[in-house]
Amino acid sequence: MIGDNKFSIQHKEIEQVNCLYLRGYLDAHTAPVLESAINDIIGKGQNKILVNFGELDYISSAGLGVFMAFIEDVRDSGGDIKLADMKPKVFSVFDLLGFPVLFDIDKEEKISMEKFRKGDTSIKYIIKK
Amino acid sequence: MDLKKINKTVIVTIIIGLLIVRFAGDALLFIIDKSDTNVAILWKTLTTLILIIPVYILIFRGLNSKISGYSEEAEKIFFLQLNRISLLIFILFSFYLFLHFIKLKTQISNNLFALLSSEIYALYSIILSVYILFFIWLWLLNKRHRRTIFQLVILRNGLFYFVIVEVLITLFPSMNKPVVSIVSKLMAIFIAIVMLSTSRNNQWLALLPKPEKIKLLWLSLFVVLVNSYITYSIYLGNTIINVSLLGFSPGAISFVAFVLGISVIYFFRILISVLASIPTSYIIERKMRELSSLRELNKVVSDSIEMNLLLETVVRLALKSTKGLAGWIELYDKDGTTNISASQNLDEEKINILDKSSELEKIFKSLEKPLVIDSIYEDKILSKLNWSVIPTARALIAVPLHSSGDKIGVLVVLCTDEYGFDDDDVKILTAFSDNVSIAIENSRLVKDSIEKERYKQELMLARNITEKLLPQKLPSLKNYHVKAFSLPAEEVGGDYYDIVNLKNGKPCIIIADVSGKGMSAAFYMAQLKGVVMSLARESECGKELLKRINTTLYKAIDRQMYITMSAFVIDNEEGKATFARAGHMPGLFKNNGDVTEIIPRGIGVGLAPQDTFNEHIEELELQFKENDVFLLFTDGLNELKNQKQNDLGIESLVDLLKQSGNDNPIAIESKLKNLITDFSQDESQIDDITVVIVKYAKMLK
Repeated sequence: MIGDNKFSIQHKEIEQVNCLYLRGYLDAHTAPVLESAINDIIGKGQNKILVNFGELDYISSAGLGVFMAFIEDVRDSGGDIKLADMKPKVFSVFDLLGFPVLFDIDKEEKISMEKFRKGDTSIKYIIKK
Repeated sequence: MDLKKINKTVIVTIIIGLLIVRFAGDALLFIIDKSDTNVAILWKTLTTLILIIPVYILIFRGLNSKISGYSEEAEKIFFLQLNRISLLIFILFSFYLFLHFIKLKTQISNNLFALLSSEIYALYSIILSVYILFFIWLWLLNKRHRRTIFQLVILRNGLFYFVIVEVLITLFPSMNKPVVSIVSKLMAIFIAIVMLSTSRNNQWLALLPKPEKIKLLWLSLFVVLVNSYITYSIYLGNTIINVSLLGFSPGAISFVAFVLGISVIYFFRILISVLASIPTSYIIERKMRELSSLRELNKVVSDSIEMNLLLETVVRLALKSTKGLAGWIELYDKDGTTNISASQNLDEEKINILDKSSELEKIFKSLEKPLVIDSIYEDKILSKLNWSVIPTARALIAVPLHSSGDKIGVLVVLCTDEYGFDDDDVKILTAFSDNVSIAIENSRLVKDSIEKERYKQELMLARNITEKLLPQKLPSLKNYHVKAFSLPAEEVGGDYYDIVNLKNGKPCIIIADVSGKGMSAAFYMAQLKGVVMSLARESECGKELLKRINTTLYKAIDRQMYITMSAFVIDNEEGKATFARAGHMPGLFKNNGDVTEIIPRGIGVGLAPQDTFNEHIEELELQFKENDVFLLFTDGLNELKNQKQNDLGIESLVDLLKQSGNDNPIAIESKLKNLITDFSQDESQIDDITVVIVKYAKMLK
């Protein structure tokens, strides 16, 4: 586990999928923790990332930016970042921004896992800058 | 009686008047040849007594306040008086020899001029005696303590009564019984004891600089010798001074003899003290010098942020306190280069010539504690250096400088004598190096805080600029009443609102929030304003404007950055409007008293490429009725925190709108601001808050 009381991440690897369990507050101050966690995964050459928001209470715009920063590279290499198990309040932040169009956001972790297993990507277009 | 308040000129006038009367009387007595009668003695004694009072007052007036405690100024006054008194004693002595030489003594009885001369001489010696008392008095004040005042009072008044008793005894010879005589002698002894006991505090003499000690030595020796001689001659009797004083006033002789006798003992004590302290004066002077150097250094350290000045001072003081010949400070940069930062009596060029091979530098850099080279020509490495740049140098001392545990430089001092540095020099230079380290640390902290301050000012400037990007005044629209405000958080932010005209002339209200905070957000916001201004003229509706903005900005902004924005377009004066949203907060529509969140689909600007963005953006039509309100805001408002870190939430805004009745936008604005203040209490605002209130009313109340 990395992080502190305010924000922490638990990292588990299940069937080649890197699962990140977020907890607490994800804002401009804590975003770098998530950033380095994802960086570590990509650095190891892995590209299947599942982010579980089950214990996350709050996300700010800087927190959202982290996913934007990586999604392009991850998808280029054939992987994906899937988001799952969001509390309604957190989901509404993603929703307002239009994230459901850009990311796989699933109600439960197992749905995302299933998608990884099948190699299914419901997001059809590629984000490229 | 307060002697201070008596005017000096008045006293001098009285003294001169009395003298004239006195001399006139003496002359008259001489002429009528009655000089030896009892009447003549009575006259002399009485006038002397009357004369001595103003003289006494003149010399002793205002003394208590003249010198207080031991200070440099007191020392100055003291030496001034000592010089004066030595001169006066010298005059007395010369006068004495002169009168003796012309054998005045034998002529007094038959020559008026001789008589008056001897009287002037007597008067002079009396005044000098009082003056010597005054000097001893000063001496006592110079090192004053709790009991000094008491002693001074005894001394002053005791002396005065002593003079009176002496005079009275001679005035009324019938009183000259053994008892009175014994009382008078006892008084003299008592006063002498008081004077001598008060003089025991002479330690401060040891702190005087050597030249002053020598001066004091000679002066006190002179006073002792001359006064001994004169006192001895008074003791012998029948000398010119005896005759003069006796002729002037019978009581004066014991007074003058007493004072001169006391002064001999007193000055002898001073002489001994000074003599005893001279051998140690080198050490004491050195300690004093060290102390004053350290004091000066401390002052510079605490006052100065000018590094060079400070280092120069350090080298100068280091030379002063070690009697060094030349010195310098080398400081090491972070990249390992060495800079000569300050030097005395040796410039950087010469130091570089001296240490051409950088051997010295290498030695200095490896220093952990002070290094003393007693003879540079006997040292293996140092003897190879090019000492011709400073041929008189013989010994070297180098003290490393540290700052927060790191070695940051070295202080080097050279001197002209082999084995010229001792342990004390090492100690004092180490103390110096500690101070320098503190100073360097201080100056770095000051520099840091200046930089921080500058950064803060630049941030303020940026904030002022971004504030100016917001409209200063909103245009007035028919039937629509718009009010907007933006409350920036402490840092510069990226909130933006504006009213622009579309291609077809329809007014379009824009609200936007650049993700993140700080400078980058502010720059994107400035960029956004330009983009909005230019693209609005080419767009027919809000949706199209947002699409164009995304197309333009998508590639231009960073991956993790995005802009959420909404466009509210007024289609006609009859209440028709359209609302498009790109990832922004919902619009709150108060319609017929009910409040609904209006959330057309739309992705934030910069998040998705043109196709995706355009595919997913929609525009909703709204129909306003009289008194309907539309509220646009950024997430800084609904995410405003209170002390419990709870959000203000959209619900509160909905409630506020519901309860606003037919309020005009100004009233809603003030209610919103009150809500913000009441909710956040003292919790600081972490994000910019921007609100645009649109009210539709044909007749605004």
